[in-house]
Amino acid sequence: MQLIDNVLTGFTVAFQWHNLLFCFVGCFIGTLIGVLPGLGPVGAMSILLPVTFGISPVTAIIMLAGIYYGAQYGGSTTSILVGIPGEAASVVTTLDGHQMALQGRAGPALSISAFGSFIAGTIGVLGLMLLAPPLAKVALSFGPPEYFALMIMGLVILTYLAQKSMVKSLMMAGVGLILGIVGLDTMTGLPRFTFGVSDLFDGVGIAPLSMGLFGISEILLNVEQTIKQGVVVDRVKNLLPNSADWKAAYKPIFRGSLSGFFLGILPGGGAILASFIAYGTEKKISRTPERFGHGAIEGVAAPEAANNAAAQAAFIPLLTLGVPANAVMGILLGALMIHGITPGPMMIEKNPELFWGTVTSMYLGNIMLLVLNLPLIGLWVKLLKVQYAVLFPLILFIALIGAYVINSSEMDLYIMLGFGVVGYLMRKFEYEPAPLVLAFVLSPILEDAMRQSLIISGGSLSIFVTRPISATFLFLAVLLLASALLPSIRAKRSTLVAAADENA
Amino acid sequence: MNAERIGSLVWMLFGVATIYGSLDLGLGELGQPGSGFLACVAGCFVILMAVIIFMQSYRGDQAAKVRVAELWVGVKWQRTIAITVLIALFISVFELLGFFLCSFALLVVIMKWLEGLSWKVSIFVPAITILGTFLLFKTVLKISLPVGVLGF
Repeated sequence: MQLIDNVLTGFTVAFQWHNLLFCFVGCFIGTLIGVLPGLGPVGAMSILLPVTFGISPVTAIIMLAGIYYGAQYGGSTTSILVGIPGEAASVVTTLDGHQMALQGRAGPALSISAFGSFIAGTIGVLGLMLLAPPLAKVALSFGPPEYFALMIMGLVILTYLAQKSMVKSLMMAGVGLILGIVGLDTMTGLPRFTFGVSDLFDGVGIAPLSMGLFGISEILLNVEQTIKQGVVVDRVKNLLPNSADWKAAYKPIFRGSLSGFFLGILPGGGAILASFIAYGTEKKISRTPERFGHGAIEGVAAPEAANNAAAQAAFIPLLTLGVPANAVMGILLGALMIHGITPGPMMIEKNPELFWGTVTSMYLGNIMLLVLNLPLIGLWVKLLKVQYAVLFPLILFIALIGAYVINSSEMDLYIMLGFGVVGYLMRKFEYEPAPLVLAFVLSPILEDAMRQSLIISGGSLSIFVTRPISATFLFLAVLLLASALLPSIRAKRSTLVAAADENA
Repeated sequence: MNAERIGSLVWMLFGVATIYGSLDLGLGELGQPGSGFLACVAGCFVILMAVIIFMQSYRGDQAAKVRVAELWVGVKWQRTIAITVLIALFISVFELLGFFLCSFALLVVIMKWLEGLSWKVSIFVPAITILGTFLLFKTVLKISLPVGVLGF
């Protein structure tokens, strides 16, 4: 009964005209950046963060969330029609989706991807509604040592799942922690690593940092290459799947949705991992695995369902524990904090409109995305024909203005450019920026939790291993680190990296 | 030189600088960690990881064993430098010359000079984008943009 009341409260918020409008804007932008290769949801959300300053927190989060799950829908369009993943989580969709398009079955590939995403999104939202409140209650029993251990586990999982070197990703997490320290110490008021620059007293902003590392560095990398453009399929006929397609796809959709949902909850997990696992599972259990990679509809349905379910589930650790599961959620955490809201176990109690409004808006967003991605497919096909030479200066311009208006500060622009160049070099040298951003966001919370724990224990590190929940989190983190050293697992990671590189 | 070794050395230096700074801030004690405590721990961690990468670079099976020079072979890196310089120039005169002038100049220069697009596209697309952005920030979101010494 309580749940129904909460859902009704949520729908009351989500159906307000301005929330509907911004939900649509978020979904539209998400689809747009998903369709366009070269700019992911992290970059787009960072760039649009300043736009949310003039609106209420719930409207802001509804829009930013729409960008994230909208990108999962849009990414598949480019994967299927062009054979280039529009978004990292759509890499595996390329394998069978593009083959289907080449065989004249672009319509069923696109529609099963959209319907699969919709079903998974719905399952994800339902799971979020059912799991988040009890999880938040459990989280109320967490003290500083539990939070510290949970964040360490999240960082370890994220680095464990890194596409490239795990050692480099761990190091990036360390660098992120250091960057997060910059600014005034909240406990002593002492300026740290500010070099006398007053603009740095509040710390390095999440927006210029992530815009630089993801947006600007992506542009710098793209301009040095000749971007291949060419829409393979520009007329999509027979959009709806037939009964044979449905029969083949419905089980993979449900399996993908469930596995994606549980992988999405995992701190450090997310849509990319979920899509890879769902594809691998379907191939493994299929009676005809040889069809995979040659246009099997299950190879489109399962990963697309998984990445959408994971995208919705990733909100659970953020909204219930206040701990972002990945870099995208890190940006959302930053957005909430800019609006004066600290996510965590108390948020559902203190801000029910924000929590339930966001969750129910996701359901409405999924319906909007279904409309945006099927009847309007022609629009996205046209967009794929726009030259990158026209698009990238506009993206760059919006990023520059976006970074400036946050504090009307020239320093923020220099910080963004600096991180843009650093991000460009990092990608050249194969260092991933995602662990850095997540660690950067977690740094102040992690430091507070660590200091409080040590003060409580009188300086004894045993506090982290004598409390069962924190000991479990740390044990899992150590287990993951140790398993990464095993030769068989290292070989498996190398194979996955090679496969991702080939497909990217 | 091997790209992995160069990269790891840079991060080692970063780690050392962080530890140096953290010592200045004060480490405190375990029961009362100081302002530099986490920075020192993270700095040591960065150095440790950098040392591992440095040592791994001597292993034969390193997938990422490329020379620094090879990272820029076959790509138009001059364009990257040109864009970086243009952004830096834009930032340095943005508040002085104002939103309209700087934005228009930046977009026209990139589109016409760097990308070789037609004059029609290089003028119309930036004009519409700049006007749209101005209306969004100034009128809808009520966020001010710099007018500059020219007064617009």
